[in-house]
Amino acid sequence: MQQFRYNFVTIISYTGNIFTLKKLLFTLLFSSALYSQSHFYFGTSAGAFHESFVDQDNVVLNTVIANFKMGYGQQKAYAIEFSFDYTKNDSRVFSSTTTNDGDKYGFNLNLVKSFDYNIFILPFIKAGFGTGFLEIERSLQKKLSYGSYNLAGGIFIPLNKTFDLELGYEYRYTSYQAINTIAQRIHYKSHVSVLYSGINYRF
Amino acid sequence: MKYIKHFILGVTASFFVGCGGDNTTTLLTPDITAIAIDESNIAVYSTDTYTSLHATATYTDGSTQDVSSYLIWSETNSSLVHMSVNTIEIEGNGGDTNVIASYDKFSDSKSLHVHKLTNFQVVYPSDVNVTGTYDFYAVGDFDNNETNRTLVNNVQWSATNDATIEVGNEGIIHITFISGETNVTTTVFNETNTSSPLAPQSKIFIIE
Repeated sequence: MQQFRYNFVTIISYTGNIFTLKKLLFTLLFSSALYSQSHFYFGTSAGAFHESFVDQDNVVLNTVIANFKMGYGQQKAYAIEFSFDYTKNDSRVFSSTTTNDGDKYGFNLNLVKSFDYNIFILPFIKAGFGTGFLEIERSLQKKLSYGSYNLAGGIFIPLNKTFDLELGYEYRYTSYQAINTIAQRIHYKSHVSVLYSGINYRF
Repeated sequence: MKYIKHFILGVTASFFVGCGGDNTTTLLTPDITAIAIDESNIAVYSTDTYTSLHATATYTDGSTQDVSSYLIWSETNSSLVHMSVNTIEIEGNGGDTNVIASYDKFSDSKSLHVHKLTNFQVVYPSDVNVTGTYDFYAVGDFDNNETNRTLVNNVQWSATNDATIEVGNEGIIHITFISGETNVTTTVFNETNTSSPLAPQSKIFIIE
């Protein structure tokens, strides 16, 4: 948890946009207080993860991501969602040894808005931010933090009162902690696409 | 139940899609392998102006970069020299020390010798007799047989009778005299011992 607290601060410094963060937090709190019929829910999902680095031709990571989340809100309106994710990492773009970069561990906070059109499915959108870290092997760094802006869309497919399936696509704009070469601090950014499916339990 | 079955199939498909494709295994940024101080056999005169050292980082791809100003510089004998970033500021008159450049787990060290000033003479203008500005400087001999080297640092000048002293380039001192008797005193390394070869030197000028 200490790591996540650290990363929560670093994402603010990465984005440099505290004002946006404050607005987002206010929106999250306001929306949760507004709806009295809210419920807690848990969920898990898995999906395909594709990452391409900004200004770096052909630097990609194709892998899988697993996610566990907790949320509070209305299935047919707003919800706040906290999620932890694990991303397998088979690439080696930061580590200077023959060892691959470490798997990624992330934490995300998203606001969910779903739309009830009185059809079988509930389309939704999500927006928020995330942070995480991965272990690397460099002479001056053993761990690299990152922050991200998240935007997602998809559908909930209710199975019954408590279970629903979730299919979605999530885009993340990720900014990594600087790589230290003594003479320079090099910041890398990436575009991440996640195609996922999952199941939620509401109570 | 039908949905759950399809869901599981979907998750499985996602995993297979995710596992596909080539992942990059090319290092984006070369890593550091070593840092080294460029200069070797470093020797300076104890009254010379500041000297800058340089350091280079070598990377895994064989490239190099000047990292002089990013390193932590230190010395093992601070009464002899003081490292101000990568600049040697000489504090003492003669001796040996090591200078160290470091950054995290990387470091390099080089020996540094400071040549000792053994005696000095002040070069006075020959015609200091009316008000005006005159140039003075001092030269010295060193323990490596270097002679008549102009002293730039660790030399202190003072003058009585409200004469003004301005430090010029390369050890030249501009002294502006007014009428009256003016005593100009030159001291090196704050030496006060009058029996020392480096004892302060004074000369009185009578200005009309």
